Amino acid sequence: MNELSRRSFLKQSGATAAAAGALVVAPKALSRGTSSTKRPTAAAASRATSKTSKTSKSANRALVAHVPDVRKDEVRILIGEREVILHDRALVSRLARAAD
Amino acid sequence: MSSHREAPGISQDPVADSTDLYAFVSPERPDVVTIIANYVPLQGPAGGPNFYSFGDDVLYEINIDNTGSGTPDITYQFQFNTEIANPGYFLYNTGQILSIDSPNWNLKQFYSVTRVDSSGSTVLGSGLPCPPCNVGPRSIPNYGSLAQAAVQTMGHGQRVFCGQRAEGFYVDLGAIFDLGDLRPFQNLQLIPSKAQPGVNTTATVNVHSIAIQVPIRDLTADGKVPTSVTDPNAVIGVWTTASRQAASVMGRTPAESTTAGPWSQVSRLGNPLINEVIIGIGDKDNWNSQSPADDSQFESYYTSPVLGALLPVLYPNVFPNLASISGPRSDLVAILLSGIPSGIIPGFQNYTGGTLADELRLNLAIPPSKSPNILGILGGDLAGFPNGRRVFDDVATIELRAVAGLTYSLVDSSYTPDAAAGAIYDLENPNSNGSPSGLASIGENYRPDFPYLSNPHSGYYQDVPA
Repeated sequence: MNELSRRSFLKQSGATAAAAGALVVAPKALSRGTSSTKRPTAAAASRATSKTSKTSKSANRALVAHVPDVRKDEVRILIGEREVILHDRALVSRLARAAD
Repeated sequence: MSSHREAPGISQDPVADSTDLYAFVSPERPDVVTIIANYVPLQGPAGGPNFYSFGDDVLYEINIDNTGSGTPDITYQFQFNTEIANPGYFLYNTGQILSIDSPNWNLKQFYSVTRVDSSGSTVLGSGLPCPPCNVGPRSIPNYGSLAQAAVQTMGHGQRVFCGQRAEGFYVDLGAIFDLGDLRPFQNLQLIPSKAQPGVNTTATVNVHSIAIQVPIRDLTADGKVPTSVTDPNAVIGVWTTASRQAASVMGRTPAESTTAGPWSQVSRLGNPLINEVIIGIGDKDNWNSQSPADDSQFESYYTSPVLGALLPVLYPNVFPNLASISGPRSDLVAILLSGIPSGIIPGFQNYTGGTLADELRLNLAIPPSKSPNILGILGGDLAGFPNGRRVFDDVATIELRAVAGLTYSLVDSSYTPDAAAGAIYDLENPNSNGSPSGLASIGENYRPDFPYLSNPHSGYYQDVPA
């Protein structure tokens, strides 16, 4: 290719959540350490997933509990393709103590 | 690149990294739309023994907006699963692979296709086979016919193919990432050197394609095939996403590992090169996680593109008119975020309303071109980008020219584009030859039919001199 000069070039036509989190994994269910916990009295919220797939790759029974901030009362339960949000200060405290 | 490794986070997750998206009215089936979403970038063809595959733990989606809302009205979901035939063997194949169901193929991947729309979810196909990667002529002597056997029909005129393909996007990566160099014009660059032909860096790499053909009537809001370009129902917006489940836990062994929770979007692609060269690096992974409906938050990147400010600096005295633009780049907003309204380009519109959304907009009433031009609409070919995108469209040059000011006169009739804005290119000069067949000289060849992208480059022949 010929080197273009600046002149010829110019002439060419122009067509014209930053909080520290805690992650707890319970392969079967919430650990036995929480089994004596009363059912949450605080409002338990579950939210629909924004996306669901027909064939879940998590058809096993594993469950993940995510505590975004151990100073607060929120526990996010992840199972299958769902997320259930609990507000349970006692549960958060118990999980935090178990992790100490 | 179009969207290969374009954001810091997704660059670490290749199987979920969308690279290119194509949507066009199929030239040999003009009642059908072809959509191709590519993933897993820059595959070295010889990259065995565990050759490339889709992610079994990734939800791949092709989304269709036919109401201008920026949210999907129709979604095609793709999920994959890998099966190992002989766990005790160490190679990809235990002998020659002569058929798509060959017992000698040790690591097969299958997939399901689900359509989600207002009526619910419908599984269109499951257990569909991907073709193997192109290992070499001893392993797969008849690769082409074997791969075509992986084209599946799903009823109602729908066809699908998921598997390895030759990269169809062409670009001179080595130059463009070296301070915005364009080899053919580098004698004019701020740090000049002798002009040279461009180098197609992607000429010998592969990708993984999710390709689907769907009748037009199955994608429009009114269920009809539009015949008028100005019909509001003629325009659809398309984008692809990849999502991972919220939690991924590494067990002490692979059997103990698990994923759980809702799907979180980690990759997104509508128009080419947007997250690559328009969105700021601090926002790129966030952009990937967002819905097109929320793209107004990124509008300033379009109205004041950094690349538009850089070009006059990198090429001194070449873009004086571009340097003089002081107003917002409403032309780029129209082309990329809202679609182009009627009355701007004769015989064309792909406007979807006031919602700013990065979608690949396709006017379905415009038939395929009999003489396609790789510059698309800039080359007078209304069937090409930014009216959808065909596999051969030179999107790097088109967007480079647009950012350089060539399209600014669409919104400011007093503006005269710099001559260079209509002359620059990345690899081959499209002003000299706009035909897709001309791309063979830079190593790009395409199929005339589905799935349009060519057979993947063979591992055996990688880097072997011709």
